[in-house]
Amino acid sequence: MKSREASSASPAAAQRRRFHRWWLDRSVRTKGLIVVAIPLITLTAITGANLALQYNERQARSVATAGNALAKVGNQVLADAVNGETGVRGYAATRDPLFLAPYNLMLTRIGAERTALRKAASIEGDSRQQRVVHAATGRVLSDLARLRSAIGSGVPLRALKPMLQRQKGSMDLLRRQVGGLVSGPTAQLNAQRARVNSLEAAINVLNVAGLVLGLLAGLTGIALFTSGISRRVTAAAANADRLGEGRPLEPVERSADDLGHLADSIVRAGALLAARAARRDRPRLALLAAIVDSSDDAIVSSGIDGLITSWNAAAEAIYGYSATEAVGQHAEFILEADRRSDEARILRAFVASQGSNGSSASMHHQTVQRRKDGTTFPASVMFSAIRADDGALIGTSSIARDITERLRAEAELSSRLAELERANQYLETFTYSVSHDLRAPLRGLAGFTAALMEDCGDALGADGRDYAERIQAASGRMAALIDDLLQLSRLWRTEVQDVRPVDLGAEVASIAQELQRGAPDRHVRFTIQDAVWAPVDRVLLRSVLENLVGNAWKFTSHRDGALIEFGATPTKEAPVCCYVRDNGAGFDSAYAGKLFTPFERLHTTDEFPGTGVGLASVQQIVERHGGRVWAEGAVGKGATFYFTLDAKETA
Amino acid sequence: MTNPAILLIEDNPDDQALTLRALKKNNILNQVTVVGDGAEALDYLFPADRADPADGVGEELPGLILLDLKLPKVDGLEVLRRIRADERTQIIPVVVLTSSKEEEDILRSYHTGANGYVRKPIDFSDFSDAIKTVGMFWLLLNEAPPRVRPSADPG
Repeated sequence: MKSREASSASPAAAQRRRFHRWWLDRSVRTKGLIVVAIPLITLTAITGANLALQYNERQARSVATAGNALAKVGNQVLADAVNGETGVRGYAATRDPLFLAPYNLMLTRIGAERTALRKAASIEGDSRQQRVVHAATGRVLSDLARLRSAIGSGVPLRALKPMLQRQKGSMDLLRRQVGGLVSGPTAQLNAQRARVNSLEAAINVLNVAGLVLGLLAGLTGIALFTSGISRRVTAAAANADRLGEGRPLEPVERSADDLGHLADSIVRAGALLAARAARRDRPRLALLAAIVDSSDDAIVSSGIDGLITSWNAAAEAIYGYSATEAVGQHAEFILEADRRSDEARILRAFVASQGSNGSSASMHHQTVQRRKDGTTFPASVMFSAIRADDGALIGTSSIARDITERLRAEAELSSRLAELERANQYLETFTYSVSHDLRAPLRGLAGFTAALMEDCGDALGADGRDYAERIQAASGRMAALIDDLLQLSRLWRTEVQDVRPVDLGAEVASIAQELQRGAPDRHVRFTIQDAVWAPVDRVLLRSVLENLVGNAWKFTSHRDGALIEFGATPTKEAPVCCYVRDNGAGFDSAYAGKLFTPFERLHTTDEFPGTGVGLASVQQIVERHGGRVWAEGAVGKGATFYFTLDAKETA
Repeated sequence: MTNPAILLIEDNPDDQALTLRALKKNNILNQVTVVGDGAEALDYLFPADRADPADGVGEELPGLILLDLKLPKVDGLEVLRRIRADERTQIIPVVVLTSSKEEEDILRSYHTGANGYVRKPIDFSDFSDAIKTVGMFWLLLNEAPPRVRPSADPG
């Protein structure tokens, strides 16, 4: 955004932006090539420039050397010409051929020297001067040759004078020409030297500049690579991570290179995933919407600013405001005015407790809310956080319910419970009273009847004594009835406690022993399975077994070969199913259901004594242990009593 | 050696009569004092605390107390608590003689310091046997604490 502002500000910036754009759109391979090429090209250019400069320097040096060589050859030609002139002059003066030796020597050398001069001139490139020297040398040589032949032919000295003067003129000309030949290249040489020096300086500058430029180019390449490519790779990787975590992607800089394609692919993948998720979520969202719409609870959502954003049908029904009226209002408008500050505090605390870690929690509280018509009602409200995909808290939802009816039901329930408590209390008092007070008159009845028989037995007569005995027996039965009744009521009141594994077989064996001790004359065969373990309240289960085994004992009393069996068979219904079987009087199976009803008896007291409470107690205890009890039998064929126990019971 | 006295604390006249009859039938001829409620029992046992301390002073403390639990005015457990709280009476054997078989009554009696707990049987011969056994044990077989023996107490 910043760069866009800058680009509209100046054309230079626009240029920069265009370059940036161009650079972004190159492929990574091109970018790599460019990054490597920049320093390479820079270094190559510098090396080329260096070589060119060195070539120039070498040229300058060779020109200077050629100039020197020309001057040297020129001086040699001059020196030989002078030697030749001296020899010819000495010959002229003496006519002695001996003086001609230097001249002859000169003649043998001058040819090669003139060739060298021509060569030097050709290297020099500018040969006008050399040609002049050459011509002047030729004139000197021909003058000398003519002079020599004139002397040789004996021309008198006087006659030689014009020839000598002419020869001197030629020699002077040659001297001047050679002088020019030496001084010309010297100036040229100096110029060349200066040029070489300046070239050397230039080469040095170029070397340093090349070094700096190469360094800069390398750094630029690295900068382009790191700041551009690696930054964008990091950004793409971060987006890939976000994609994986299902968070929204960050926008990326568009570009046409590979990295741009990669970034685009990630963005496209994100869009595809989101679309797929939306397609997948659509039925779920529809379901949720249906639930919200059909809910009996008012479901209201608010933004983080507290303004209502949704208002379901139940909310319309409960508060009397339509969704159009409610949406946009502050959520507290359904509260009683004096409750608003409290509620705001609660909501703030709730929002604060949510934090931003994405943990989802809800808060439940009771309050009083107001309908459109101004009436109020107690409400139970559940706040939950609404979060964006990234976990940020974006609002709250509240589910509210009119709990008038519930509170009324709760109040009624608690008053019922209190009543029940009172009733239990009465029952407690009643049974205590029965236990204590009902027995006292009975004891009087029995006691004084006994006294009557003892003290006045004779006066009563046989009938009187029979009546008295009946009074005593009746008192005894009533006492037994009261005791059984009390036992049953105690069972109703007591809880199963102290549950631990008990060997029921061992209990039956000990009960059998007691019974046998109580009636040593009876012969009853017991078959008892041992080690029948079950987790039970030992005292209560002992009472069950006493009742069942006692019954078996009682109902086999009229026959010989009495047999009482105890055992356990596992069934599908319960892990422990015990039975007590006898071969006694049995019962009419049509009345099997009556067996367990209190005070119901299938036999007369004359046949078998009893109150009809024992089996009711058995049923009570077995049911307290999560089991059930039932009986099978037929008249005269004995009876079998089964009971199951819930082995899982661990109260 | 004088036979120790028995204090029978029993509100029901029938039970009083039956108990006396059972004692007599079993030839337990010790002196028996009968009181009809808890307050009367306390008055008897602690004459110094009475409104008129002169009344009954010098009476011997009983050698055995037969105590009913359900009594008018002051109930049996409270009487027992007071007996055990007082230095003079705390070592007198007390046998609870009652109609109740409630576990709670039995436990509370022993916790309060009863020496025995007998449930009065309905059948008179059973009742008579029970009285006989109690009397025999506490009055004859059992060595009574020396201090409550009337002969050992100069008065």
